[in-house]
Amino acid sequence: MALSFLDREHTVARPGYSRWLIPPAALAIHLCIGQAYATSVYKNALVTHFESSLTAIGVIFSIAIVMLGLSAAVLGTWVERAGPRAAMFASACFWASGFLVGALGIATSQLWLVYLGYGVIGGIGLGIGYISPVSTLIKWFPDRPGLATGMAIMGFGGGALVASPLSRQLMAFYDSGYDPTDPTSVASGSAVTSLFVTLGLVYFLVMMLGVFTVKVPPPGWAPAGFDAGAVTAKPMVSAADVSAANAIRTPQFWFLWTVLFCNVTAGIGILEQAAPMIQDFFRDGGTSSVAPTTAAGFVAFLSLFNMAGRFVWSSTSDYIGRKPTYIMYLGVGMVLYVLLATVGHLSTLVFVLVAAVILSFYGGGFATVPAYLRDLFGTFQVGAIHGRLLTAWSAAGIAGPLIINGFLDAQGTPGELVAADYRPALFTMVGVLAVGFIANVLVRPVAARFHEKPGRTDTLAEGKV
Amino acid sequence: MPEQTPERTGQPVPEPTSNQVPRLVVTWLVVTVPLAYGLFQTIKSVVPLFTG
Repeated sequence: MALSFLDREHTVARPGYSRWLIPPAALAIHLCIGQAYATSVYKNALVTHFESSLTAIGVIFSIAIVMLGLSAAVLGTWVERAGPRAAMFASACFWASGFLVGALGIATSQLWLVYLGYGVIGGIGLGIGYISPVSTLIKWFPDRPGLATGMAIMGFGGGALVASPLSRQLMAFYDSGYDPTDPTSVASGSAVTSLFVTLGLVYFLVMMLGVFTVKVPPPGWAPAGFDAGAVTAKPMVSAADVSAANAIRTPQFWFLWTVLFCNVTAGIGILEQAAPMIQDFFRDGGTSSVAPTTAAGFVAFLSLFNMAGRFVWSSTSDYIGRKPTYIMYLGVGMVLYVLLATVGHLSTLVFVLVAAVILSFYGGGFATVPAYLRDLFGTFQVGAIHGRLLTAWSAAGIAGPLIINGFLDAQGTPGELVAADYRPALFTMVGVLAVGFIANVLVRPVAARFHEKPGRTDTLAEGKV
Repeated sequence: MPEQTPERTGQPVPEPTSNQVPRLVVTWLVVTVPLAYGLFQTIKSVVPLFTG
């Protein structure tokens, strides 16, 4: 069959294949799908083009994130069975098609087609793509799973850093009347159509690099000098495997779901309102000492820490352990939120640094969780379990903005508030982090009754049953 | 006596190391060059935070 090269059995690496080819394969996928966090670049252009509201255009992104969680949860087991190459190929097809259908929607002024294209079809590509390299990376890097998954998931954060300036420059190329340096300038609908077509084609090609590079290690492979016994001798690291179906029956899965949900909810609290928040914190007599360009710089600074935290903290977790790492994210996070609420308004430097560390913990929480799952549930279906866990992200994507906007709306309009108006929302986030902290403390090794029988995992992975 | 090559013994053929170096360079470049571009552009937009 023409597409048989995608099958898992055709992706088994020959002896000597460099495992350092796997991180760029994973990054090729995550850098492309990370564009999802750069949708604000053309939001105003779509509002003008469709003569619609910001809310109606914001729904495109919301659908995509909900579809990410759903498709990762539903298709996770297929991703494990079919292998990383087939999953990456499917992700590339969905993600690129999403852009092309979305472009058709913009060109024909049919907003529902953009919902269907970028939101539904692209969102499925997001979900499959996000989990596709995770279990492969963990199998190639049994000695450093945090570093490996941190690298890939850092790519998701980096994708937005690449897509934002690139999209502005492409829209300026397609519409001579658009000035990418002027925040009030709006690109034409045809420029966004061309941007979508370009991104769809370019992302497809880059993702193909991942498709043709990724390979799974041969059965029983281990890196030179790797001592599996030393890894499983660490506290909270299991040598046993748990299936995805069994994992969701364990309390550990739901404790981790709560941990991820709380960590993401708290991070979104700052991300959602970053630009108006810094201006409001340093407002005196109706005028803020922070200019809009400085506020935009603050948002960019946070995105850098969000990305760096994914790599730095996830890699650090290989040395200090996953549970202590989340104790840091949630425990230190609580202290930082209290600092932000009580003394954040006294110094811009303190405010910026505290918010940046909080955002690094937000990113770190995403990147460390696959390795935490590996420690608890083994490598057998870790990608599928990760997919199910990502529903916590979708839920937090709804809860986080609801909490922060609910509190702020009661105080007035963000951009016209003062530091004290943020305190109820920030203290609520401390409570949210406390719930996550307790959930993390309660995580214990998975009971033996959920473990797969030795030998069965190999048979299942090879599709023999 | 015929040589016991991996094909004859049914063992998988090892990956030639020499082929992997250019492949490693190209794949890492494809992902690090756009990332460096994104980082540079982002750092440029962060500057007003510390100068403005």
